[in-house]
Amino acid sequence: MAMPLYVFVRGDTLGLVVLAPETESVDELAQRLSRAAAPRVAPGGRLRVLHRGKLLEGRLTLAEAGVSALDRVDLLTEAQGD
Amino acid sequence: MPLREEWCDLARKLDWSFSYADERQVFPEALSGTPWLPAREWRDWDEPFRSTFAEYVATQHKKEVSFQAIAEAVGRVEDISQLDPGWLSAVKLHMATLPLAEFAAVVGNLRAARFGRDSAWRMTSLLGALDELRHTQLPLRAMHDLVRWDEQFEWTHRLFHSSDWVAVAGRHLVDELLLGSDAIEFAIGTHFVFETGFTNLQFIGLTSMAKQVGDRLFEQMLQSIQTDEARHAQIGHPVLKKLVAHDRARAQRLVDKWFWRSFRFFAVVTGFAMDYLTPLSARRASFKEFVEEWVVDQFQSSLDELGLERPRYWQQFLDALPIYHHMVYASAYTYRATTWFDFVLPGPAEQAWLAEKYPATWPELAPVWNNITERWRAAGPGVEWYTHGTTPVSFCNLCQLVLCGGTPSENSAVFVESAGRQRVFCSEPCRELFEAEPERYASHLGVVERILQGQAPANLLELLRYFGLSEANFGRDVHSGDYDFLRPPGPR
Repeated sequence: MAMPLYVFVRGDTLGLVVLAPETESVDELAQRLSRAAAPRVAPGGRLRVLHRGKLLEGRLTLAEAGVSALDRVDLLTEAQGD
Repeated sequence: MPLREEWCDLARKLDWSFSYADERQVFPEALSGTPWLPAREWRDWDEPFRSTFAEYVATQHKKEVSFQAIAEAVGRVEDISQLDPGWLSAVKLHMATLPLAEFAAVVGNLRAARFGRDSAWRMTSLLGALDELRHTQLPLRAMHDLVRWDEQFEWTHRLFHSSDWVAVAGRHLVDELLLGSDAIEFAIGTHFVFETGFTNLQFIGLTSMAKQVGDRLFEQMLQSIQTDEARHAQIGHPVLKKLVAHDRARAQRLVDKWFWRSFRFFAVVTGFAMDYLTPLSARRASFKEFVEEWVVDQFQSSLDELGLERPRYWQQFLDALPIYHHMVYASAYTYRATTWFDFVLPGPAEQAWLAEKYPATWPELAPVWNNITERWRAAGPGVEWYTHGTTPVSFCNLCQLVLCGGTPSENSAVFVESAGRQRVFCSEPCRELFEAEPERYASHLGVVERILQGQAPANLLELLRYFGLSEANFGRDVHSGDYDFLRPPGPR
């Protein structure tokens, strides 16, 4: 089932809303978020997803990672996440 | 014939004692405002203009004749079409967001003209209502003739009747401030904070820019309106003075609330115009400099005079002043089709000016504009979509504006779970204001809630239609990406 998520891409000027399937992997979500912000934020570096203060494992699905509807997720590049 | 001073108060300050109705029934607290005070407490209420109706009509007639002459001389399509296209976008933004809000202010003033607690207050509010009617009609009449040339001018009338996101945010503010407030809150929120504190930015700051640009129609219109604003804005001070004397905490709360909400509104309307849409050659000061002069200095001295503290969100306001409107503009530029006016891409000269005016914040914003610039360079003129977002954006549950608080490296959005529902706010002040009066705001559906409940489409193209926009009028880059600085260097 697709769930709405509030998304903030580091370096961007606004928050976005995406619909994400629970079965989507964290890596796939990260790629999608990077494309969504591409008009303002140049893609680059390894992408990481921050959720409730923790960096998520890229191979996990969103359900496995504990992401639920209307949660906030932040997209960082590796340098930002370090 | 008696001297003016002898009859003036008969015409504007004449109260009477009620014999067959209770004063509380005549002036119920829900409409007259809190705290409810007996008439004797209001007896010394006064304002400095002390106009009578006859004087008002004579003065306004002169202003109308003067404006009409200007409109006939320089308000034709052939005059307006010569103006800078970026400046025309500033005019379209102003014309759509303010005149119909002024129409709502007619209602607020009329409520005070009936339920204000002193006759002089009621009289001045009646003149204020007539002012606001004029402030609606002048722009509607002046812009009407331009619609056949440029459909975006139709949004002078259309915006507040649409479901566009700017209209949703604008109505949320206007409905509460101008339509839903009692006479005391209206006087403080509208006259003292909004008009005394902030409209000077729009009506004085932009007037000087209109003069530089050569837009005499807009310049004269703003000047004509400002003379009215200067008079009826005086209602706020004596009402606030009375409130400070009887309920200081409430006085402070109302100033706190309307200061923050007004700042958010003007940061968008005036900030866009001053720092981006006005051509560089016509800019006299940055938005931040205007705010420092008109709001930080002048508004603060008004508060000092009344013995009130700075607004509770003063520090957040100072932090947001050099960045918030830049965040919103960059965001809106990349969602420009969701508005009815066009956007200017800041080139190297504009960016250098912005870097000088905003040395602490521009380094974080420059990469965003460099990215947009490079994408225009890659796509070429006319390919609007390559610098345009397609993913739905998120909005604050209080101000209803896009979540653009904080900085690019740290968005200040706040998430709160309450009554089984998740809410999101662009900032701590918006969260606090919502939680202080949830009964006022909880049932409102913002754009995202409408999408999630199936009332509005999630697909951007369909959402544009829901907003009331079409290819004929939605916003674009003013030059469709055809800027000299984007062209490859020619052969040597």
